[in-house]
Formats: sequence, structure tokens, C-alpha cells
Amino acid sequence: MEKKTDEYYIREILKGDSGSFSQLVEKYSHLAFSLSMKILNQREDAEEVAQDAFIKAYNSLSSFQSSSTFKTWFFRIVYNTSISKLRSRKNIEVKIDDIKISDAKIQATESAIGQLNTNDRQKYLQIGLDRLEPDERALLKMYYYDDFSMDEISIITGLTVSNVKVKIHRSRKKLLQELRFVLKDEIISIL
Amino acid sequence: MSQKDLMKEWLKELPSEQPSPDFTVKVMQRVMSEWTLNPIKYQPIISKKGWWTIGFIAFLLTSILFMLHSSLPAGTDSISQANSLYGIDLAKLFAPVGALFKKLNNISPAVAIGALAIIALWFFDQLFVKTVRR
Repeated sequence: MEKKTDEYYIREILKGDSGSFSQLVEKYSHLAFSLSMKILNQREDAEEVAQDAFIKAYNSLSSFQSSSTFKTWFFRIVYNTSISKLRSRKNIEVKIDDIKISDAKIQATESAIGQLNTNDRQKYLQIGLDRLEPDERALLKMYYYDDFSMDEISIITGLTVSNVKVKIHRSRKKLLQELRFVLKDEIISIL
Repeated sequence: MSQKDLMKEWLKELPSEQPSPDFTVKVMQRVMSEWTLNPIKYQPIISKKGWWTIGFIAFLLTSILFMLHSSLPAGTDSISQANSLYGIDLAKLFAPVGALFKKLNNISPAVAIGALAIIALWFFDQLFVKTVRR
């Protein structure tokens, strides 16, 4: 079947064909869910938020400006809905953002992770990601996994491009620090 | 391999998080229930009320012009005998109106009655449909 563009489906929906929205849901459900999952770290909440984001997008589709892509516009909704949900949770644990890892230790950690087998690497990376702040996980996911550009992430998160750049750099550094902590210095020195 | 590529490769190795299999169905059910509550309606540029207002104003203007035209002494069709009202040259205004009424005068009464009957029928049809719907 011929693949139609997002703009085509949006036009159809605005003409009154609500069924066309299912094409956009099919296309972006996985990405929306995984982004909210990275922020909320809880399956039920992430699924609820992803659904809410789709409904919000559907209801405000007429206000969508084609100056940005639908994907970027929609991800901004997913991001904001996830952050709102996160804020509504009680007793949010606030971690002190303290990055002490040196460049030499970063290189050693990266090298150690590179030598792990895939299963171990997946396991430790997941643990490391879980130890990050929700917005840090989201930024890393958007940049490294979803291949969004800095400009697109800036639109999605509402941060300035330079702020996004700094935050991604810090999040990556923090992830490696957490991985070093999880892997322990001894293992890294043995590897 | 650059640091960015390395991180990209590792993160892409992670098992992807999939929503439940009925995710799309759930979203579409919510979309459809929203649509049922508030379906997208085609909004005409000029509403029915607008058309009635335009019609009424047009009728009023035609009537006023007709009455003004009738009140002028005979022969005012010529520009030279025209009066001026608040600086408006009535002769210039009435020249096309006069021509139109002259043309209308030439219409046979049977045609005029026929046209009026069609308009009246349409009007009563609309009125009847509205009453039945209520």
C-alpha cells in the first residue's frame, strides 16, 4: 500500500475523516510511548500519557502549523503531558545534580562498557538510565535514539538550543558516572 | 567511532518499549467518542442568519431606492434635472436604478407572478421543514 505523508492524513482528518487519525497513531504510538516511558518510568502511566497526548493532538489538530513537522509538534505534546504527569506525582525525589567524573574516567568507562557483551551492556545501561533524572533520560533518548536534532529537541522541550546542548552533554556524562558507579571501579580496572 | 555514535549504538541496542497491542484501538475509541460528542461540522462562511440579514438589507435598500425614485418628478432620469441630497448626486445614483426598474416594468405580469410563486413556495417549504424538525 502506498504510504501517505502526515500532512495528507491531517488534511483528511480536518475534512472530517477521523478514521485517518489511526494511521498517525499507528506510526507514532511506539515513539510516543517510549518517550513518556523514559520520563515516567512506569508502564501504566506512560501508556495513559501517550493516549492523552494523542487525544490532545487530535483536538488541537486545526491549530497545527506546518512550520514544524507533525512529529516535532506531536512530541512537544507528549513531552509536556509527561512532565505534567510527573509533576502531579507526589513525593518526587529530587536528586542533587553533582557530576564529578573526570574525562579520563569517562574514557575508561566507555571502553569498559564497549567490552561488555550485549546482554550485560543492555542490563547496565538500563540501570544507569533509571538512575538519571526523567528529563535527562528523555533528552538522551530523543538525541541518541530518536535522532532528533538539537533544534527539534529545543522546539519539543521549550529549552534554548544552547541549553539543550549543555543538558545533553551533562546527561551523557552523568549516565557514564552512574554506569561507573554500577560497574564499580574494580571491574572497570580489570576490563 | 565518535562518542556520539558509540552512545547511539548502545542506546539503540536496548530493547524497545512497546505499548500494549490494543493501544491504537484504545486511542481510536477515545477519538471516536470525542468525535461523537463534538463532530467536526462544516461551517459555511456566511451563516443562515447572515443570509437573512443580507436579504433583508438588500430588500430594504431596493425599497428605499424605489420609493425615492418614484417620489422624484417625472423626467428626473436625465442627469441635468437631478437633485442633490447631502452632496450625493441622486441623478447619477438613480440612472442605473431607473434603468433597472424600467426593465422590470417590461416583464410580463405572468412571469412576475410565476417568479413570486416560486419564491413563496420555497419559503413555505423551508418553514414547513423547520416546523416538522422541531
